[in-house]
Amino acid sequence: MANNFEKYCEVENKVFEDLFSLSDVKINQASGLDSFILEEFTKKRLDFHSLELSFETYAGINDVEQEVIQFSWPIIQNHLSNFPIDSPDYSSIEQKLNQATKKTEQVTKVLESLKRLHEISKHALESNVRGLEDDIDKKIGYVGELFSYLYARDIQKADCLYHKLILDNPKSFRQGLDLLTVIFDSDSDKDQVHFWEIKGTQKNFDTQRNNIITWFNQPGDKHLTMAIEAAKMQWKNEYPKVYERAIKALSRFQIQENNFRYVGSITIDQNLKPTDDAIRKFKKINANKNNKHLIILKTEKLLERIEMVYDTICKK
Amino acid sequence: MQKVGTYISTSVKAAANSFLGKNEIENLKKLVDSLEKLYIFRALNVNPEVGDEDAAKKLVQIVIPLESQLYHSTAENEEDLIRGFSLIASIFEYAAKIEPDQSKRNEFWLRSSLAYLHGKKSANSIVTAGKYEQTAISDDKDLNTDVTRLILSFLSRDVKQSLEQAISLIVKTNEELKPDEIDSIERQFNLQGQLELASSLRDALLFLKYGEQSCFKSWKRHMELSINHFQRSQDDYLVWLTSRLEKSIKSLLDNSLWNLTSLIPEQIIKAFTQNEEKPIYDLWDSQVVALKNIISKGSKRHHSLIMPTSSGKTLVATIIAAKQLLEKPGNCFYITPYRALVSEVSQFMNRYLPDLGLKIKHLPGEYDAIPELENFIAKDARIFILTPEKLDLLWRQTDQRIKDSCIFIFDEVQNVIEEGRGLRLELLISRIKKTYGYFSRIILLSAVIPENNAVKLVEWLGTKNSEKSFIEWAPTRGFRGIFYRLRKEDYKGNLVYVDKFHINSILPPDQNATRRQETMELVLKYQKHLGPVLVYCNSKDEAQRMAELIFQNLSQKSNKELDEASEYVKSYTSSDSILPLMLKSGVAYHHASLSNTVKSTIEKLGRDGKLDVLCCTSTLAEGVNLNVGTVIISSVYQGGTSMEGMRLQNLAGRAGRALKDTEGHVILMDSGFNQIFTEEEFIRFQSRFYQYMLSIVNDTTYLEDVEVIESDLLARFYKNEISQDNVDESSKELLTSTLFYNQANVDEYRMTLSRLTNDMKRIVNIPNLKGIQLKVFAETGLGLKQCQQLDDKAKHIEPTSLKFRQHGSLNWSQIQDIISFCMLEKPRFSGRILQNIENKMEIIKNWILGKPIIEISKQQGFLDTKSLNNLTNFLYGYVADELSWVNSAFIKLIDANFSDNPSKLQIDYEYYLLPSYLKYGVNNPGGLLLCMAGLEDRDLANQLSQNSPLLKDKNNWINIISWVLGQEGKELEKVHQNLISNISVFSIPLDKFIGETGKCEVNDLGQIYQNDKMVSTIRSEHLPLIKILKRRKCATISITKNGNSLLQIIPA
Repeated sequence: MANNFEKYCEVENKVFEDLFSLSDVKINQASGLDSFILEEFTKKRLDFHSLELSFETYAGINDVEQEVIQFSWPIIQNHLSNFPIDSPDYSSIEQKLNQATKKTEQVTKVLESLKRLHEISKHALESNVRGLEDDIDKKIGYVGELFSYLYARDIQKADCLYHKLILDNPKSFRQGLDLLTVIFDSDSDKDQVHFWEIKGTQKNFDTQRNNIITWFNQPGDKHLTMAIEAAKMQWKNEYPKVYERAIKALSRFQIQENNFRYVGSITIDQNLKPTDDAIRKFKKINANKNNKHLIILKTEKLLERIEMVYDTICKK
Repeated sequence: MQKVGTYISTSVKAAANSFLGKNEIENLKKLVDSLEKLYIFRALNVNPEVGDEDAAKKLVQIVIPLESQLYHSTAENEEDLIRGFSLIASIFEYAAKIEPDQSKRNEFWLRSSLAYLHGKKSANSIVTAGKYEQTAISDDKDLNTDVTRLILSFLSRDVKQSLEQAISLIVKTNEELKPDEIDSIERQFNLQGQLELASSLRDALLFLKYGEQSCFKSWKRHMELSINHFQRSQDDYLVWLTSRLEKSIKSLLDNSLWNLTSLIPEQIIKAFTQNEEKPIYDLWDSQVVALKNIISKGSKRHHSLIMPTSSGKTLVATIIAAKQLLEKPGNCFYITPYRALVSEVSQFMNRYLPDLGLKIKHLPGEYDAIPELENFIAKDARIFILTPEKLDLLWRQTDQRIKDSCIFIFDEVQNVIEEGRGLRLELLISRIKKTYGYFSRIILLSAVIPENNAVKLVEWLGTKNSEKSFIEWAPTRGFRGIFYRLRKEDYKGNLVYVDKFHINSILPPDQNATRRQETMELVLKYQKHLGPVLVYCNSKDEAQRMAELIFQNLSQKSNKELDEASEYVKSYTSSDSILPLMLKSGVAYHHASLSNTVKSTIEKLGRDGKLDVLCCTSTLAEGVNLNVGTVIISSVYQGGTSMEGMRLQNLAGRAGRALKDTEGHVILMDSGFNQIFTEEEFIRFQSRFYQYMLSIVNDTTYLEDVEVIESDLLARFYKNEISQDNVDESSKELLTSTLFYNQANVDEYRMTLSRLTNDMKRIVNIPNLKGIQLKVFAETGLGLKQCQQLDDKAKHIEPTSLKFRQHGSLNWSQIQDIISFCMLEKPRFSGRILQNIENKMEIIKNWILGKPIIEISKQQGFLDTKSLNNLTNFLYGYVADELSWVNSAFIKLIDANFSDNPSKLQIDYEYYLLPSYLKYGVNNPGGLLLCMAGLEDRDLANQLSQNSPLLKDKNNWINIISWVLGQEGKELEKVHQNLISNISVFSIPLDKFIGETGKCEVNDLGQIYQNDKMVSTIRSEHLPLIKILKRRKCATISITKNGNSLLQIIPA
């Protein structure tokens, strides 16, 4: 089996009291799990790809010529390690840039731009992390989002995924959908659209379940519409071969066809055992039984695992 | 106005195909119609029909994914895709119109504006962006206030404001992008996104305004970065907004003037985009297509352009003229039949073209020319805006400016179907084509000529050298409704919207309802919900009664501007008139029997959109661009005869206010004429030669047409174009050059040729018609009989001295004689007007003495509105028009009769101004100039000009101009502007000036200083001119010595 999330999970799917689908997912403490999680975090949650574009913005403000921006970035990229936590190797970058161009003023501006990007990015990351320190449930939710993403990708085998690219900031003025996936069927008319609202908790299962219900039951559909639009934008580049089919599934949802699921995901410690009554209340989501799905992601020593991720990714 | 019928483009069908079933796609048109219908039903306060609400709701659900599918479409047919977006935009627009929730409504307005821009309907995009209720922005937690305001300014095309906002947002976000200010990753990316978005819009705006090529590339990259940053900021809304904006900006820039540099010279683009008063940055699709067809390399010399009303013909014509004049030497003549349009076009061109060094001159009047004055103020002008009659006069006088022409633009060319004027226009175009067409361009413009007839225009101008553009695109959608009642339905008032739907029972059953009553009821409905309404009535009396009825039923309103207008109009109306009271409520009527002052006040209120309801006759209905959303045609008759189909179409074209709304409604109250809206064949576009062909000598049925032909032949005879030796060839040559030749069959052609040949023979064989007498006959533009009658009378003038004034007053006994000779026994077209008036000469005397009409009316005992209307009709419909024209010919004939021995007749120069005094109702050169230069209030002109200097000879107009420019007052702004913009070089003789050539300073006392030394003083009468030019800082003043010592004042 390839090194994917499926390898670490035991999944039990059922229909809960004929009210909604329930997936009980146990994440086992197998060897390699931690390094797998860390690798996925780095790839998916910190999105270093966007650095190049951010650099272009700062270089643009600093009047760096377009041509200089273009040849600078590959040089800079080779001298970034664990950005933004660690500083780039400015002296090596400067040396390489001076070899590539005689425009010393431009090189100075490039370095200033990079420095500004680094300082801002580092501060932004620290701010987000700091924001999580006082709220353990948010901290769990942040890792739970990755678990959910991996579950959708590796276990549900979702064909297109649109997820938050950066970690949540509780102070953020705007929080959108956590995860949007499309799962293709053998019959394209039966392709499913899944909307995910993801939470994690140390002990407040009821509260997080209620938060999920409130989110899905909020009036209007702008929160979903705009996520759908953003997903379409992203999928065009990310899944060029299948994005048209995915867009079709989203469009069918928008004209109120019954091809969707509202998925609530709650990550908890294995020792926290929500009662049937607590689970039953998930039915309050305004949708038919086939359109709502609760996924409970459980793991042993949840807090230790969270701190491991937190320390490695954010505090190194 | 664009005709509608919902059209589902191929790209929309393809987009729908990916998520809708076949049946649903086929149903799409019905859903769109239902949404439209629901909106209109609600707008008119009619209960919606069962199913429409559900259908509309269904469509609103579909349209969001449909737009998205279309946005992601890879369809190659760009034009089809554009139509698709236009349809989507209109759906969002209607969705907004029926949506009760403000936040959702705003979302729809924004979606609509973006989609309209993407669909290249930029006027509608501006309108829908303007509907966004901005007061809600700061309350909506989902919106970023700065970004939303910036985008709305951009979409509203407020370039100045959005540029300021973009720059301010760049500065603000740059300042906020500091480590200490950033409290989250989302915030970091959000600020980066805002900064890139603002930079993108800044660059797009800089390209729109200045054509910066680097910006044309950079805006797109900034937008891409912005979208990427917003994706990482988790703000799905801004991701959506910026991605849509990107496509919309692309569409906008495609049609931007700076993107058309291969077509339009850069200096012209600069004149439009950098105009301070009202810049223009992009063209509508109709304009781009028209210009590509007309001014591309390889375009044929002549062109017939058919474009709907309000689709931007004037701008197209202005660019065509400017390009031609910049590339070639010569003059442009812009010919338009209505005086109001002459003024509008003149104002438009004067806004943009002077920056290109092109001087525009509006040549007022028709056959009552004052050549000295025109030459004086039109010196160096290269664009002349005038009526066909005025151009006809210039041709008759072999004016050098026509000889130097390089382009003629004929507007409203469908008017060739009109009696008299139409034939004159056809002959004018025919001879311009024949004489100047091989080096001058001829552009024919119309909004209403059907496509199959437009072919005839091409044939007329010559297929080898001419082509046509028939453009249906218009900024507003046109809805055409026909009102009817059926006995079998208990006489319920129904409305059928052509190609759309029925509105049953829009008015309750009423077997005895009168047309006026039901028109009023519909007016109230449309006005309340869809804005200003124009009601066309078939007579002056009906227009007045209709307005009164509407006024009695319309709720009162209060508006300072209307109150002021009401007070103003009060002094020009009889005591029993309720027009001033109506005006206060935003209701008015307009017809030929109102004084010019009242008419122009009402026209201005109408243009500015201040009136809720305006009832009018054909006087206003055609030719004036009014600000109305709905036109209700209460009758298809004009006086006693049914209106021509094209006139009705032209009238219908007034509905819809581009840049103010996206639709226009035309309601026809006479269902018996419904084919006007449904059958193109009903629209007749036919040369008046058909009527000429049918008329026989002494038959007065088509007298005007016959007179026009005679007059034309007289001019050709004088110009030696026809003679006794070449009648057969000449008549053939004349007839083959006409539109008629391209429309007639062989029999019709032969019959007409025979008639024309006979008339030509008659003209060339008139005994003793030669020399100066023939010249006058040729130049007046009057028919042969009128010329002969006048000539007989002129011969009775004894050798004498014609003094215009005695002891400072008018020499009335002599003037009266002259005028009475001009009152022909059989007036050309004013017979009925004259029947209603007694004491004609006394009235005329008071008219040119400058007495207000209301006083003349009281003096004559005309105390009621009807009598006042008769009087006004007499003055404007006869004295100012026909009598003035005849008088102009008569004065010239007197001159001609003494040409052999000029010393026998001593005639004051002011007699040559008498025709214009009759035209404007003034009695001195100052008042005359005030009126000619744009002062619409004749009474004010008379009041101001009481102390005007008089003219001794024709070279002294500078004194009058100086005097006029010295008059102060808000009302004179337009006069001053017109005069100053029309004066290229003022050359004032300085009697005592002895200095050397060079620059000098002139102070307000008129003292001329050179090298700090006073060298001379300016004559006192020129002081006002010097003062005003200095005050306005619009002129450089220098002294040159060209043989004579002159002070030259050259406006900057």
